[in-house]
This record gives sequence, C-alpha cells and structure tokens, in this order.
Amino acid sequence: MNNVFRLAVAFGALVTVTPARPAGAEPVPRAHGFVRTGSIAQGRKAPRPARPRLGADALDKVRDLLAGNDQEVIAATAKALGESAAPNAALPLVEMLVVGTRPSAAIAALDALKKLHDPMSIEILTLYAGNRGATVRRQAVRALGAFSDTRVVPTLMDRLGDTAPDVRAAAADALAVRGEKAAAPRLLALLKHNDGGAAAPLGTIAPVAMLPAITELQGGIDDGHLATTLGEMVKRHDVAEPLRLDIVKTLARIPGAASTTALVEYVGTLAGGDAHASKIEAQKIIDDRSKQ
Amino acid sequence: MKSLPARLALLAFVPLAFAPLACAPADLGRAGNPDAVAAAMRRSDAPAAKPVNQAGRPLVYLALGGPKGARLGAFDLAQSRLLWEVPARLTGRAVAGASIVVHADGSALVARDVTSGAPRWRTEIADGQTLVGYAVDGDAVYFVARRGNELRGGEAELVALAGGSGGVRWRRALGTANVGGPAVRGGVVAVPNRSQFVSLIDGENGAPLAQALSKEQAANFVEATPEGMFYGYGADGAYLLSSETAVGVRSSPGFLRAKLPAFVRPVYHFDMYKPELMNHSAIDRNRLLWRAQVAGPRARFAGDSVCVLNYRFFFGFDATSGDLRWAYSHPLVEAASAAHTGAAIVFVTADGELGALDPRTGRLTYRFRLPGGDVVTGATFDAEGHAPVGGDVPEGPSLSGALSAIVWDPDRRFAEVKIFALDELARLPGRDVTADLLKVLSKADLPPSVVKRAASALVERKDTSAAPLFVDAIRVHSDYATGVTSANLDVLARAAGALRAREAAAPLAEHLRLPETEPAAVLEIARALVAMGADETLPALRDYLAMYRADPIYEGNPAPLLAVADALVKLGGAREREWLLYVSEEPRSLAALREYARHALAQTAAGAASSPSKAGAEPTPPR
Repeated sequence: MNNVFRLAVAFGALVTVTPARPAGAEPVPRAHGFVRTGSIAQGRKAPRPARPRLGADALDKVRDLLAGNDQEVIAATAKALGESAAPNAALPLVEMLVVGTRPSAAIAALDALKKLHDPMSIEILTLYAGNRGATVRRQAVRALGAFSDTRVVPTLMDRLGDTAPDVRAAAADALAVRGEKAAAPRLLALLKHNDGGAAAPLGTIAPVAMLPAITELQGGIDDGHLATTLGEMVKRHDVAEPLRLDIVKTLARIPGAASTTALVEYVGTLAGGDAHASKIEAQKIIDDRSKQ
Repeated sequence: MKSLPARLALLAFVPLAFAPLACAPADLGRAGNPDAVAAAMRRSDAPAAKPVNQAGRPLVYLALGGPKGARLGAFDLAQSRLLWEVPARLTGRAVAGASIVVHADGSALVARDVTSGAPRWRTEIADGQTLVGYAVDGDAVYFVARRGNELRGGEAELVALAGGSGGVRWRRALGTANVGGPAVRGGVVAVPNRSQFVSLIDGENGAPLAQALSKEQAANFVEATPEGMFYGYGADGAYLLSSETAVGVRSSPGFLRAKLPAFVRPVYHFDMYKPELMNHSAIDRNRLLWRAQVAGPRARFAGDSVCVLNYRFFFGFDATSGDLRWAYSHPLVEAASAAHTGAAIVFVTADGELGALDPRTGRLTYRFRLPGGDVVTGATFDAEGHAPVGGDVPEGPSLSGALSAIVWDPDRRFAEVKIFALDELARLPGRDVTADLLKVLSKADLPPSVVKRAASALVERKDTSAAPLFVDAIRVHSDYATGVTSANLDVLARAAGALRAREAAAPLAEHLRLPETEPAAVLEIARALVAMGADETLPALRDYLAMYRADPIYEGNPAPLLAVADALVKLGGAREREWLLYVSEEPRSLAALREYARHALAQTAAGAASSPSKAGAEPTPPR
C-alpha cells in the first residue's frame, strides 16, 4: 500500500511518484521534478521575476491534489495554478499531463497552461493537440495559440485539417491572431467546405490577391460566411481604395444580416470625416437596407 | 388447322397447309438404346466448318432497335459492312439457313432472303398453340409447338416446313406437351422432352429414330455443331450425343463440364423448354462460350478452354484446372450477344460495336462500329470457322493490365467479378501489382468487399520490393481541409509489419500522435513496430500509453492500449518496465490495462532480470 515507485518516465532522471495512500499511512517521498528526453516537455525554466515561485511544500501539496480522485478539486487546483502566474506553476500541470490523467483533468490543466504561457509546456500541449477527444484537442490548440513561439505553428496548421469544427476554428483563430499568412490557402479550402470557423480568420490574413477566389465562392457557401470574410478584409489597413469599394459593392450583393453587419462595422472603424468612396457607398447601402 | 387457298404466291401469308401428316400416335422409340442412337447419328451428316449461308460469307444477323424502330440487319464480317437492314419485329432470335434466315414474329415464323432481307414467306402457328422453338437445316425449317397444359393433358408437335414456301412437309405428334425447342444437324432433328429425354427424328419424314436419356440430371437443351450434337442441362454440362451417351451419365467420356471459379454462373446453353428464351435475353450476356474436340464418343473442350462472358468481361479459363488464362474487359457497354465460331470469340455490343477475340489469348483481333448509333438487342452469328481481323484494334494490355482495368471499372454492378479479378491480380508478382492493390485501399468508392480483399492480398503477398510504396501510403495523413483520408491504415500497418519494413516504423509512429488514428489501426501499428523491432519508436508508444491510460474512451475496448503496452515490454528496457509498473499500480489507469501490465511484467520478469537492457520472454496476453 505504501509502496514507492521509482520511475523514469522517458525523462532520463528519476521521478518518485506515490500511489494514493490511505489516511494515516506514512508520508512518502514526493516527486522532485523531471527532465525531458525524447518524447515530452522540457525541464523547468527560469522563474519570472514578477511573481513569487511556488515553494517545494506548495508544489507537493498541489501535486497531491492533482493526483486525487475528486474532479472538482483537481479542476479548482488547476484553475488556481493558472491564475497564480507563478513562474513554476506550470510544472505540476505538465507533470500530470506527462504521466497521463483523465480527460476532464487534462482539460482543466490545458486551460490553466493557456493562462500561464510557460514555454516549457509547448511540447506537452503539442502532444495533447493530437488527443482523440475533441474537447481536449480544442483546449490544447487554444493553449498553443497563446504562444508567439514559432514552434506552435506546424501544429496549428495541422489542426486546420481536424475533423472537429471547433478544433479547426480554434486553430484558425490562433493563426489569425498571429497574422500567419501561410495559413490563408488552407483557410480558403475550409471556407470552400462552407466552414464558418474559417471565415473571419481568413478575412484577417488573406492576401489581397486571394480576393477574387473568395468572391467567387458566392452562391457556393453560406452568404453569412462570405460576408464575414469580406467584412474582415475591408477593415484591414493593407486593403486600400479602390479595392475597399469593390469589396463594399460585393457585400452589397450579398443579402442578409451578416453583410449589413459587416458594412456597419466597417463604417464604424472609419473616422467621422472620412470621405472615401467605399465609406460613402457602404453608408448608402446601410441606409437603403434600413428603409426596407 | 386453317383451310387452304389452292395456289398462291410465295410472298404472302401462307397458312398451314393440309399436308400429309405422320398422324400415327407418338412413338418416340425406346429410350437409351445405344444402337439406335448410333444409327441415328450416323445419318446426321456433319456440316462443313463454314457459314451455312449459300454464299459462305461470315455473316452476323443483327436484331436492331432505337429511333428507327425494330429492324433486322445482316453484316458481313469479312467485308466489314452492313449488307442490308429491313423493318422486322423479332420475338425469337434469327436462325441462319442456306438461302433464308428465319425468325419468330409473334405467333408466326418468318423467312427472309439471306441476300436482301426481303420476306419470303410467313407461316402462322395454329390457334391455341404456343411456339416453343425452331431450327433450320439448309433450307429445311422445323418448329415445335404445344397446346394446353405443359404437364397435364397438353399436346405438342414437331412440324417440318419447306424452306422455299413455308408449306408443311410433315408433322409429328410428340406425345407430351413437356417439350423443348428443336435442334437439327445433317438431317436429324433432336427434341428435348419430358425433362430428361432427347428424341431423334428423321428430318426427311418425321420418323422416330432414337431417344437418349439423361440419367443423372434433366436435359433442357440440345445443340447442333459441326463437331456433333450435344445435350444436357444448361447449368451443369453437355453430353456429346453418341451410343456412349444414349444413357447419359457424367462419367461418360462424352460428358463435358469445365472447372470454373465461384463467381461464374455456368450457362452452357439456354433452357429450350422456355419459349421466352427463344429471343435474346440476359442469358446471351452472361454465359459460357465453348466448342468441343471430338474423337469418336470422346469429347473435350476445344483448346482445353472455355470462355466466360460476363456482360462486359470475357475470361478464358483452363477447362480442367479452372486457372485463368486471359481476361478482356470491354469498355463501357456490355456485349449483347456473342458466339464461339471455332476460330474466334465474336461479339457485338449493345451500342453496335462488333469485335472478335482470339480464344487462346483473349487478344482483340477485330473491331468495327456500326454507323448510325443503332441499338443492338441481339445477334446470330453465321460465321463458323471464321476469325475476323482488322479495324481499329488497340494494343491489348497484359493480363495484369486487363485485371487491373476490371478492378478499376467504374461500373458498380460487378463486385463479384472485381473480387475475382483482384484475387487473380494478387497472385501475379511485381511491384506494379502491389501499387495497384495499394491504390484500391485508398479509394472510398469501391465496394467494401473489394477493398477488404485487396487488404488481405496486400498482407499475404509480402512484396518486399514494394516497401517504399507502403511508406508513401503510410505517410498520407487525413486532412479535412484537403479532403485527403488516410484509408486502411490498419492494413498498411499489418502489411508493413509482415514485411518487417523498418523504414515504415517512423511514419507509422507518427500516426500514434494523430487524433484521426482509429483504435484498430493503433493495434496494428503497435504489433507492426514490434515485428520490426523498432525501438526508436518507444517515445511515441510511451506518449500514447500515457495520454490514454486513464481515458474511458478505451474502457469498452482496451485492446489497442494493451497492444501498446505489449510493444513497450517487447521493445523497451528497464525504463519502460518502470513506467509500466507505475501504470499497473496507479489507480487512474484503466483496470484492464493495469491487469495486463501487471501480468506482462510478471511473465517477462525472468528475462528482464537476466537481460536488464531489454525485455525477456514474450508475455502472453491475459484472457
């Protein structure tokens, strides 16, 4: 019952982990960190100076809680770690994911790691971005999206081809936030599949040369998706007149609330005194539609 | 019987004449008398191995349809031209004679001039009678008609008509209405009757000559060829009619039956008891094409081969072993009719393309398309001994190419034929064949049975030269954005494992990190990695076990996890054993995995102790 298992979990160093023990049993040595080899995450990084590190006792306590059976306790512990911003708060979460845990616990850990932005977690997040559970994958992708590190890009690009729409959407959003223009062709492919999760991200990063291919999709995809994409494009700084006017006119040909919303949002981004033709045209369309 | 006009022109309705009848009661003779049968067959003059029409031209009589309406046409295979076509309604197939070609038109028989198609005469079957079948010998025409219930109380007769006028020469009551249509050869008419008997009758005067008895099986057809007369049950085989088969048993030296694969529905001849089969039907498109070599009472299949026609596909089989010799796949349109002339397999497709195959090799030797876009509903070939050549004949594919074409044929109706072609293809060596089988795995629109058979064949053939092809296929990852699917990864893994293709290890291990990898594939990947001894994949295996050891998704079927654990034991060392020890004790691990890991570690403990760097004896999975 009080067995201690000396464990080298693909790390090249010993990690001591105890199974759950009954109350009153002798305390046993605790895990004292790990070193990555081969398959998973790096060792500890230097602490951030802004927040205090978790002490050894606190880490042990946290590990105990994360190793328990109470899912609510595990979730609360993970949440607390994520909000602590302690430089070594990611460590116990990564450890838990390295040795494996139930999906619900993994989701809580992934969510916390997203908040912590600790680069040591990139590799384990990459692994969990390939989990069979869509919810787990989505959380992992969202967590990866919080990093500016280029190491996350291949995984995000891969997940654009995920079978689950919300995973694809999470990857698309992350790539759009990064301004990852290389993702545009895959996002266009998704839009052709009528995947709404790709609409706004594509509009954010699509090169101007892709505009004809996007407008050709009218009639083949939902009007709302097309309007969303064009709505994002028209607001971009790198898209200037007269191209903006062309986009506004295209939006005018798309019926429905989404295109009206896109035009309203566009006008809203412009200064009051802006007299560009695209703004004038957009306002005219909005006014006409409001009279209908 | 209708009354007669005295003398009339030949081109007109010619009602049945009140001709002298053989009105004696049916006396078909004692069945199974070998001497009588031998005597009857000696009377039957062997026809020459050439077309029966008096010009000796190799002709095809085409039943045509389409916008121009029902017509009969005559095509010369040697000259590759349509000689004539005339409006004609055919309710029975055309039968060739010397100067006439005869066909049924409702309740009448119509004879047309061979050179022009012009009608010569029309003879109505008597009221209340059903025309069962007809045959032509030179210009003598014979038909069988019955009246009343086929099995109870009905009656039937064999009638001989003069070829020049259609007038009745004689009639013969058959004593039963359970009769089939006739065949005739060299002046002897054969009529199947009472399911098992074949009556031989003198074509000159209707006198009974002999009766053969099919002892072990019904006999529903009789066929006249230059080699001899054959009778039998269409789905079973054929007896050469001789004294030896006066009582036909399968052990007779004159019995023919080919060994054929399971997908073949053997049809040696259509059922002549069924009047509806007088006309062309689906049987013409799915049947055997065969000829015989005869030496006295002995018969064997000519060239020891038979051809199987299955709509668009022709197969040549060794009649004794059933081995495939050749295959031909006609693109797009099925054959409406085909025949074995003794020198060639000739056919015509429903859209009017005529073709010929060498019966020994299956090579296409002749091709010609009828002008005008006619629809061909059937054809009769008067081309005995002729082997057409010429036309726009493409270079034929190899056997593997022909079989591959059948597998890839877009027509979804022929799953059984495709499976057969796949099986035969898989028996052929060569990397190209392996590539073809791999391609089958990746095609979603092939019937599942075909894909499954390709999978088995790939694993079984162990083509080591094709390892790079497997690696390329394994490298394909499913991707929703591009529409690519990694199909049948479990099969690829199994095949790569069977080959011990180490270069496939890393690509296989990559799939362990992908969410699209199905459990069945994980299981095969783990086993394959063990077979390859791929210890460089241990990190991927460890990660997989870590990620899913506590995941309820594997509670119902933990086999993939157990396979991964097994791989860790067999490929790994002390590190992996410690990890598995943890898994076996940590309560969040699935129960089945804990038990298996405990068992595997215990079983291999001795080997691990003596060889710390590697696992020892192979563990036995707990049942």
